[in-house]
Amino acid sequence: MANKFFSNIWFRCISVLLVLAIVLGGTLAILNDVLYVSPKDRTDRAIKKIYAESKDYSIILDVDNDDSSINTAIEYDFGKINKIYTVGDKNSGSYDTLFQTTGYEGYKNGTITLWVQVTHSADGISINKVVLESYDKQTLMGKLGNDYYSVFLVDITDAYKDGKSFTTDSGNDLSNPVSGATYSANAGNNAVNCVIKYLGENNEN
Amino acid sequence: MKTNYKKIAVDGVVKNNPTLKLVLGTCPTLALTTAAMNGIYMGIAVTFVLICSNVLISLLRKIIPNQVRIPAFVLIIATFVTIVRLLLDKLLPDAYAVLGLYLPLIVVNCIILARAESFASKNGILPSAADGLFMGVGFTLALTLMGAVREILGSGAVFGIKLWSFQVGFFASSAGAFFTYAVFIAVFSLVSGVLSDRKKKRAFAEKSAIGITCQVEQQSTEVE
Repeated sequence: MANKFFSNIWFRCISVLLVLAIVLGGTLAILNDVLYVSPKDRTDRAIKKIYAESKDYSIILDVDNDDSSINTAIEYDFGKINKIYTVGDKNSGSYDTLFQTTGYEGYKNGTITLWVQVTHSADGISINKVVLESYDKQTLMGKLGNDYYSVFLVDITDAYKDGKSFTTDSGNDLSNPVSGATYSANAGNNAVNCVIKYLGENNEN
Repeated sequence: MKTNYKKIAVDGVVKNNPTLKLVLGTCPTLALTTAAMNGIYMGIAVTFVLICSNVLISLLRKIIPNQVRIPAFVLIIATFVTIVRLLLDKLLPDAYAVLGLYLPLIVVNCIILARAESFASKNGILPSAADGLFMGVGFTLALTLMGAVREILGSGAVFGIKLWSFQVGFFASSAGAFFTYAVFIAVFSLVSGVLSDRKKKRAFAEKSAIGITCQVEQQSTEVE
């Protein structure tokens, strides 16, 4: 009877699937531990991408952080700020603030997420570098080349006070239109405008 | 029986090209070919999964009962897709970000399940590994070429290097993906049809020549 049960094809089928699931699941559990990328690793990676070297930083806001006092994104109508880090010594007068912002209202209501490096110095506040992090639904992202990102690299000391923001309208001082990918360009502009609004609201410009 | 690796290579890359001949893996082909580099990233991921799953399935082909072979294959393929996801996230974060949703979707890629079912479950480890490799190479080549064409025409760049400012936005859109894919399949069918006709004609000519020679020899024997 027992012999018949163990030689049954269905017993063999279930055993094989069970053994496969256990062995493969175990392998994945080990690899998941070995290849785990922590939120800190991701931040270090992003900072290395922007500065081309590792830098010390302090966290002001990080949506991926476990600490509930600093993990709530700052939401605006046109975008949100996911991460804010201070790079360098704030007391020295010259330091950087690094923002990860997501701009809304892109093509098909998609978004663009950027890293924006803002430098604070005695001369004022300026955007030093803008790096693309990710995008959603933007099929014409290829049209946003280096020319598009370089327009953001300007002095924004009084931008908020003067009511200036990056737009796709060519009449504005901070205009950044891109023909053929206006919606995507708009989402990118909105991402940088989050930084201008944040700095203005926090009396940093 | 000796394995014909040359045939496996030609089958995978040209004769049974998964993208252009078998029209498998259409979803990532259409969605990810906005740039040539995306094609390479996707190709590497699929090739890795193809080789690994083919090898393991071939190794276990006598152990897995026929009744549960499909769930077992899916289990094996899903494991390797998860491994490739973890590896890319750790080692190539840019590729991981670009592939996004299409990376876990490799699990349901018909190419992998088709090769597991039609080749790896019936052949030895080395031929199965070779089949996975060359099918992957064929897939990578097709995606990279399509990506390059769409990137050049849609963004005026190739591999991210700007060539000129001339751009046709249509090729970067979804409709452009379908159009480019259709053109690629048409050109591939045309070229492979012409080559196959030429091969058939050559074979027929050789056969006829042999037949005539045999007839001549037979006639001369009869005369003697």
